[in-house]
Amino acid sequence: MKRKRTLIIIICLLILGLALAAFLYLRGPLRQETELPSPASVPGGQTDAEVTQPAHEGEAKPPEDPAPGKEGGGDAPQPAAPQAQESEKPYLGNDPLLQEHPKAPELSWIKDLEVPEWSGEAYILINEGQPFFETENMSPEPWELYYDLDEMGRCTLADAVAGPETMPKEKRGNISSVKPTGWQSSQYPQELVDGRSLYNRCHLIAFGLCGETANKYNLVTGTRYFNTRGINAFENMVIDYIRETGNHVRYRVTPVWKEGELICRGQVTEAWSIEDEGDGICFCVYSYNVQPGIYIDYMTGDNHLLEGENVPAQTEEPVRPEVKEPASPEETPRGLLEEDISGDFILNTKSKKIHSADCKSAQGMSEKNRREYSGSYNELIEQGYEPDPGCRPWEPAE
Amino acid sequence: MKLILCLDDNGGMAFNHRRQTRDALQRRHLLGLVGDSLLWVSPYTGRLMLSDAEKLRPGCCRVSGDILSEAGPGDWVWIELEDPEPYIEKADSLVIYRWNRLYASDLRFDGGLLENFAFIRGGSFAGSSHEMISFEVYEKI
Repeated sequence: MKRKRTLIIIICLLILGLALAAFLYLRGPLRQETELPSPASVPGGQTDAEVTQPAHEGEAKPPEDPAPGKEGGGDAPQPAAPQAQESEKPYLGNDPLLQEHPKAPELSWIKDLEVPEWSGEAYILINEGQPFFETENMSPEPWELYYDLDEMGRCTLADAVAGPETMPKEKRGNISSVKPTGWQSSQYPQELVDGRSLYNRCHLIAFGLCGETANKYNLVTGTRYFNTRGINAFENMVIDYIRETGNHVRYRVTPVWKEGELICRGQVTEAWSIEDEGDGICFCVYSYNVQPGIYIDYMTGDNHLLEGENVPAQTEEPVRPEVKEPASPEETPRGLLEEDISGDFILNTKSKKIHSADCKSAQGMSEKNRREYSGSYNELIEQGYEPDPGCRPWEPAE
Repeated sequence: MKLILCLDDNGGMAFNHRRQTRDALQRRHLLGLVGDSLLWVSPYTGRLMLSDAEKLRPGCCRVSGDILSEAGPGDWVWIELEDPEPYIEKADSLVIYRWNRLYASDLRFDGGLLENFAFIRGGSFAGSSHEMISFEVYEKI
């Protein structure tokens, strides 16, 4: 009996020993499998998190982006990044040219730019009309790049190779949702400002070239004169050239700011036609953001008539909104407009009424219920608003 | 000499030593006006015009660096980058094409140069990339 008990104890000890041995044997490999492999241990294999991290000194840089636009960008950070040539995922890293809105490079020439005071011409030639960018071996492959806003929220740079592929296929959409720096609504007599609104939302790269609408990286506050005389004249040349030839044009626009100001002083536009090597289009110009007869405070956007400016007698009185006949119920649209309009409206959030910006009845509205709105009329209808027949907000403002 | 010019809404002819714009149908219209006569152009204009002219009016287009001296009475002259004044003095008729668009310009046509010309006729047509191109024919008084 005693021998039998001893045998049982020995068998138990043996089983325990085997179990312990098996545990120790398996323990090592199990621990290794639960640890992340080090980047060095997997050829070309990096986690997403690691790819977006700045690399350490001494590590290789990513291959250069084929898109042009790096000139003058010597001061821009060119972060080194780990090699990812064997990764199956596209490598983005920190290359400014591969990000949607990278920080604009400091263009050396813009710091040295000396522009004479405006003397009556909407634009002047810069650099004898030759663009600053490198024009050799330029590819006609189309691309667009809208650089990030600066710390004051101002546009910095827009750059593209425009061609038939980048031109819009549809009508321009509403852009009133974007309020570029210094934006305010200022009205003057038609005799002074064509269209009466002093400020326009001005595209750096025209809608007609690249189809960009409410892109805040591409819109600055500009005067009517700047827009129509200083910018459109060049945009028209490039748009019509592309339409006629099917060729491509490198097109770069740099707004020019003074420190702390919200309204740009002007912009430099450079353009160069690629297929015919500048024979069709080649210019580098500075356009003045001024309005003849009107003083502009570039720090704030505030503005007023210049002293001594001869205003035609019939417009010396403040411009008063035209008194409109209230619309009959039949005339008042009950739903969405067939062709949407956009503009400035005053909303009564309690009665859910839409008023035009110059509606007299809206002037006495309680501040609690009053809301100013810029944008699409139809969007308001979709939100349950109805138009005030008294001020006909569905009719585009003059 | 019969002079041909193209102008934008600001009387502009050219900017930064280049034409403001171009249109294939305007060139065809121009060649229709020229008919069987000679058309003199500068080397710059010739680069644009020669292939059209060879297709539609073979042999009519002459390229020269001195068209003012070489063009004879009854010949047509199309200028793009040249100062129009000396040509106007020599011209006995004038055709102005208007793009009906505003472009940048640093070479402009002074409307005062038309004071010795009388408007004869005009018209318009759709261009290949321009909505409407109009033309005006003048003759020296």
